[in-house]
Amino acid sequence: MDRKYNIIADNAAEAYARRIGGQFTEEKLVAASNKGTYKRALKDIEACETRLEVTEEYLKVKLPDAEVSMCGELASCKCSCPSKTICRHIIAAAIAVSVFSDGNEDCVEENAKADIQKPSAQDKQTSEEIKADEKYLDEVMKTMTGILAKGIISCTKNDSEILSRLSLTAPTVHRKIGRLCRSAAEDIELMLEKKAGFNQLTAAMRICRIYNTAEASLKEQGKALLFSGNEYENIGKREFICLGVYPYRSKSGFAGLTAVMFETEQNKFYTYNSAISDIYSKTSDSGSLKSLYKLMRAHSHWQNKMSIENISGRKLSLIGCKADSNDKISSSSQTTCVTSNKIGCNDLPEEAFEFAPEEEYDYFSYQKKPRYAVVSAENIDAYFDKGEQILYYSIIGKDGKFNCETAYSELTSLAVKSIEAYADKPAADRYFLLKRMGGITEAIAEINSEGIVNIYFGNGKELTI
Amino acid sequence: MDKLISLLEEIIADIAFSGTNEIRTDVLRRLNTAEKLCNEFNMSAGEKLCSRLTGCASEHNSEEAATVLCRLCCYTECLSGLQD
Repeated sequence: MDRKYNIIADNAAEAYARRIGGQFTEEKLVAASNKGTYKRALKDIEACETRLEVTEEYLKVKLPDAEVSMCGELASCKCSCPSKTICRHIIAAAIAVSVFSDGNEDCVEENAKADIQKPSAQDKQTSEEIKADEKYLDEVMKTMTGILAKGIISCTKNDSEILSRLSLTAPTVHRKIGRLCRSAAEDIELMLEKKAGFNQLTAAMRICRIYNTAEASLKEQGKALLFSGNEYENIGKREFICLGVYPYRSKSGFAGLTAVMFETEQNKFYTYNSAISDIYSKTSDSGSLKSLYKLMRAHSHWQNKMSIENISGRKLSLIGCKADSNDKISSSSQTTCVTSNKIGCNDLPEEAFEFAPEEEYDYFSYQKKPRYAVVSAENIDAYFDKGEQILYYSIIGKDGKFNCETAYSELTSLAVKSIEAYADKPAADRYFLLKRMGGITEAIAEINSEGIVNIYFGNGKELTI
Repeated sequence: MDKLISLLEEIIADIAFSGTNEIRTDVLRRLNTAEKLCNEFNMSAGEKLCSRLTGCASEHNSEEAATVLCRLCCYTECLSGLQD
């Protein structure tokens, strides 16, 4: 029994765990889920008692809220929760099992708690790894050509499983391909289940993108040029102003918050994301605005456990700050956050008033980065299109006129309500933080003389739990 | 240009959905139109890809057609991305 985690296992279970546990490395588990799920799973097994039992076929890992049956590969693990994918229970079970593998006891926790700056993939790749990569990429390309030859319509559950396997077995350097494979598997599942979420063009484009990425990667073999730049780098002590927070929900089922932070030395925008990891738990409010508001108030960020609500609308220093090439700030426990006074519209830096120039299109980094700017908002004209369920509004002020739109959904319901309330009520000292992505501009927060209002959460009263 | 992009997207979606094993004649007709449009706009790469795809379909070379389809998809996404 391991002392760090509260894991109870008899000799047979321990032997089984030792046999299969070595394969569950942090890298593999993060690639199969995401960093947030991994950290949540790690916290789960630290906080509760986990029992390991051997049955005829499986190693059963009993967690307080689920039971995971394991027999080897992660893809073949079964969880008693309703999730059809690799849920946090499976990840927690894999971590529990991995602590029994030789020499692994100490590194699991260390790795999870620190976003260690890893050597680039280029440095790490040996000829054997390159061969394994080539084999993987070849298999990916053959699978995609096979699917395209017979057509997506002829795909079966088996194809979806092959794609899931390719997603799970993706080497770290090809994690983007892994993620795309997982999405493609979901596309096929949606088609087989005749769900409205299936889109012929999106599925086709995704399969072609997987092929193209694998082919380009094969040509760049040994350099890993296409996929570098995802590691966090220590950027030292930085001063920020948190200008607003908004919720997001991804197609793959994750939800979370993005805090928009303006860095006052280099004068550029950074973002800080916090994902909700219990979205697969299927509770009544999973991923709802209420649960995201709860996440906003949770004290779980950086070394000194700050909440996003704490930092919103304030000046703050991040000591030992880490950020990646997409200007995303890490939630590393090695970073300390020190907040200072609240800001109002008179404290806004001039440099925040301009959108950064749009980045050149790059097929292989297709996810466009949102751009942010603060604009004066003396007047707002709003019109809600009931047919399209979109609120169209123009923000007019000293900086010009900005045409914005916000599509109505559960997540944006309070934002739509707030903007409609602002309409036709002129105000001199009022500013808005805007987000622009894919040609659509939308308001994130109101900044007035008293402080910042995150319009997606209204004033919070409706969401108080 | 918008029309060409949506035409190419329709073609990609149709071929990927029903498979490069047997590309329907109506899709081939649209492919021909796309090829002509590319020619009009002096987009030689697009024209070449459309023509290669038609060639693969007539030769019943489904694997090669799948590869060309992926290239055409990349070309279309880049056209659309650069236009945004």
